Amino acid sequence: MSGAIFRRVPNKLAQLARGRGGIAVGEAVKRANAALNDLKDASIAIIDEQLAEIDRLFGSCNPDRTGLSLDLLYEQASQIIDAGGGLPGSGLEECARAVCDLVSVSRANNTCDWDAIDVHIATLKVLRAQGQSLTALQRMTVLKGLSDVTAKRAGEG
Amino acid sequence: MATLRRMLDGDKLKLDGINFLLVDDNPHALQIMAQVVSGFGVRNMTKVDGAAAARQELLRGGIDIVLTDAQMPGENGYKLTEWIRRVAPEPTRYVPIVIVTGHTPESDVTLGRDIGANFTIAKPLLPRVLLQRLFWISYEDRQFVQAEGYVGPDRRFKRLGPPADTEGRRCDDLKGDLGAASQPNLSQSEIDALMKPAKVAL
Repeated sequence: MSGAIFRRVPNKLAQLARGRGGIAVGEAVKRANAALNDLKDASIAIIDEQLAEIDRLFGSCNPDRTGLSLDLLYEQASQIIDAGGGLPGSGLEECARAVCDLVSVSRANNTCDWDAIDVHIATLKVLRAQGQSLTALQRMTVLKGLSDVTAKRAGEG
Repeated sequence: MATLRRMLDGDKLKLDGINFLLVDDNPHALQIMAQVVSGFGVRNMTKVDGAAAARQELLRGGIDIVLTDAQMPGENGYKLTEWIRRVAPEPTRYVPIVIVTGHTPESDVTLGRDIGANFTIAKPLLPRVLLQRLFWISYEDRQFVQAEGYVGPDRRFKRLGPPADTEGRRCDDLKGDLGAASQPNLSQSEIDALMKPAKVAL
């Protein structure tokens, strides 16, 4: 550890946050969730916009999709993740993350598996439409299927 | 070494006097951050859309904590964190930093830890998850370490032994530029296992 300096530094959070007063954690979380609820419609609008773009550009209906960079798909799926909890419990964000994982594996392997992309896009649409009405087990099964697809592709690299 | 205690619903935090700096290039994600912290009773927050604007605010002084998105065009949240820890003047250099990210491959989480971030949180930003990290920062007594290869809160963690067939895992071993993600995303609990300090027998 030669040259390493350890020191106590000012931590205003520790000084002020633990002071007298303040609000209880349970109440703070409740208020924050209520504040987030105000953004729910905007979040859903962003999710729907990105889903439509993903389908239009990377869906099987676009004959020119092979010429597109998967970076754009990654970016669009990231926007769904960023939209943050617009459809809680739908599994949509996890699915968007799975899309990013698939793109990452495709980049690493320098390949592009359109069948796998089609499955992911179809799953995004299903979860958007019905994700919140599925049971946790059903959602988990669907998402596990996606991660299995990606793991298989990763193993083929 | 610090241990982190679980936050209980009855615990209290007083955040109305704390100055938050929120950084995200995505306006909606920035608004989500702002809504969450305002729900916690935070009155003073500065919202900026990128690292350059964040640096200006930090140089102006008075920021008590930084919440930054990881993936931003140009200078990302990791570069901003590195700048805060290595270039920013004191006491800004010591400001707690929480990285918020939509993508959590182990390489990214490890990089965040090794450049001195206090915590990494996976998106979507959940109020309870963020508040728990603020609680930990408020109650932790981690010392600040300044060394050639690392500047940030003491990061000594559970000793799991070096990975098989590897020569080392110091931050000096990591490349500054990660490039595109090539690993699966970690869950929040896996991220915490990498980030949280814990009492260890060395």
